[in-house]
Amino acid sequence: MWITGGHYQAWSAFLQQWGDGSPADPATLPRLEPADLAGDTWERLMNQITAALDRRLTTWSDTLSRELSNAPDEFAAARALDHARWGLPPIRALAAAPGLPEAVSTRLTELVDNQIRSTQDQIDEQVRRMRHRGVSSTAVEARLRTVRENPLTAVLSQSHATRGGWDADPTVTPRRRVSPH
Amino acid sequence: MSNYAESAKDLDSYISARVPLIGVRSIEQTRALRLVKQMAVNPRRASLPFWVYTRATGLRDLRTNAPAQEDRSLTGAMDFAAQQFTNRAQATVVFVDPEDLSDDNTASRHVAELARLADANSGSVVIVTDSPLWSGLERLGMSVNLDLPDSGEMYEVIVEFLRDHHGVVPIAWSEQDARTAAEFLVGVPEGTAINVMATLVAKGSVDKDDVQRLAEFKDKHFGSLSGLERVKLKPADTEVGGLTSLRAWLRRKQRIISADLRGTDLRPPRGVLLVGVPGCGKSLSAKAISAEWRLPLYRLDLGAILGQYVGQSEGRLREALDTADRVAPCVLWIDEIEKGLAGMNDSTGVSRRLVGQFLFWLQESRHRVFVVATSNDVRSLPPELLRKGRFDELFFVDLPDTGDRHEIIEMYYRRYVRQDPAPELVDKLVGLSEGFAGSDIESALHEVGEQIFLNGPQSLRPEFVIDTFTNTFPLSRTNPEQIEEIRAWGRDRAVPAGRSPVSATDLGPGAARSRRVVVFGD
Repeated sequence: MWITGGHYQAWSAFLQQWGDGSPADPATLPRLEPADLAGDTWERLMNQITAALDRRLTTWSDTLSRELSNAPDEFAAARALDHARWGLPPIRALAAAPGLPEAVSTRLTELVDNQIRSTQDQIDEQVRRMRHRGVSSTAVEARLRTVRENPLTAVLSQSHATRGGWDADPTVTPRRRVSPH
Repeated sequence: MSNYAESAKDLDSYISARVPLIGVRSIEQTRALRLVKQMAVNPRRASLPFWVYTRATGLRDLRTNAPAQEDRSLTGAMDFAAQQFTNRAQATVVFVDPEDLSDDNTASRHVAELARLADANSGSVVIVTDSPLWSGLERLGMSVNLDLPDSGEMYEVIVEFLRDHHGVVPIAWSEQDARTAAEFLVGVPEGTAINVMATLVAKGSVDKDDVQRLAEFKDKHFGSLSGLERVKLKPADTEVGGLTSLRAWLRRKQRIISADLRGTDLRPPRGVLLVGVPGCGKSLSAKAISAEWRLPLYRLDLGAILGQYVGQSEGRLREALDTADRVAPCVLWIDEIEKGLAGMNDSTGVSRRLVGQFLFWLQESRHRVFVVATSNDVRSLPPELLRKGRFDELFFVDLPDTGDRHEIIEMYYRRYVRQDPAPELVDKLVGLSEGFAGSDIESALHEVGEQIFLNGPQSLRPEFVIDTFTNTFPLSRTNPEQIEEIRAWGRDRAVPAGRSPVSATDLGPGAARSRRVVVFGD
């Protein structure tokens, strides 16, 4: 049975915005099945999904690279890695969108997770190469420790918590409640 | 109230007041964490969540030690804390030595942001650190300074440790011994004190003598000493002869320095200033006191304290005196004190400030640091240093008299010639050595020892020894005016270190009413 063109349209419009960095939630998208679309339409939609994922991952990777290179100290580098981790759950959420068939979401999630692992390997390698650029071994060791303590791959763990608390409105006047504790 | 109890009281108030950022400053991480946990397990706080983050263990529940999340990174823990502060009221997250927060850097700014987040919902960030917090962080909260255990707390640590080993090894200590041990161990972290006690137990028994050994243990603990030089004693430094009145005075002070002074208004002895003729054993006296009292000896070189930048000298002296307080009980030897503190009229004012700083410390420190200062040229010393009440006593060490020279000649003869001298030779040498300082006699007999070393014992002839003494020209002959000036000063202003007044004929015109001698035996 043909589903309405609206589902394709909804996905396509969503992917366009999402690929540009919109925080839209993929859980709201309608459910898709390959049989509901013509073969080439389905393929086009899959291409749009991978393209959107690719755009988000490229932007994410560029930001991480820029923040890491500009980090004035190890804490700033750790924070850059932490911020990078904040950007990953929404990307993984699209790959695992409930509207996608399970086989597709499994493949896409694997694709994204491999990309995360690959980026982690690249960072490790870049830090090791710092030695050849004349950076002191102390600085290299410190950066290696930072990278190991803040792995991007932590987001692959089920229990990983990111962000959340920092979204509080900074302009709210604190109201302290003191009880006789 | 002990520092621990006072810190606990302050921390309790700050947590109840939900101060958003609380600094707990201490070099003893475990003890500081115990203090924080003590606050968390208080039944009236049962409903309030407490977490603790350390680099090694990650984020955990402070009460149960259950892990809070897999991510062990600091940034991950800060994210978790931010989440808690946003989602619930009155959460407390403790960070142990998270990063360098002593100045304005990205970590400090981030912690400040977290503290503001905590403030919005009555949360608290507790930072356990061994360094001061950046002023921008200090402004956001309050701080507690947990010092090293005082003698009362140290006593509890020792008693508890001994109680745990009761029946395991023989323990000969009385309550008084434990009190004295606690006094000796003040200035070391609790963990070090336990290590020391464990070492005593490990040897199979805890004996009365071990109380005195604690000072040696403590000395080993302080491997690197800022501004002070550890002086190793040789066997020859361990005995002292002559100096009867000084030694009697020192015996009294030794009993005080190792006594339990709680419940009295008495303070530990401050020290002694030894002035007098060069080469008569003032410096060796410092070593002898250290050896006899079984306390480590540290040398404060005031010349090395002086720096070229404004405030550098004062900073170095402060650091050195702080170090001395930490290593107490000890003997602090300041050789030729006039070389560092003279020059009161210099235009920079550094000497004046150093004198003021030193005198303030001498007067206010309650640590068992016994200062032995020596001086050859007391006239250049600032008068306030000599005033009664600064040092406990000012002793004058004069040239040795006949009896003392006899003793010194016999001792050095045995040391360098390796045999007992003939009595008639000693009598001749005593006569020839009038006006000699102890160091002159040593020098002459050292030369005799060299002759025997090179040519064998058969080369030793009394004439050679006599010639050596005859050809020795002591300072009292080459510069009699200087020596007489020193002796005149000492006679009028200082307590004689020697045993009794001597006759004027023994020392010639202007002789002292009293004098001293130091004989260092093997």
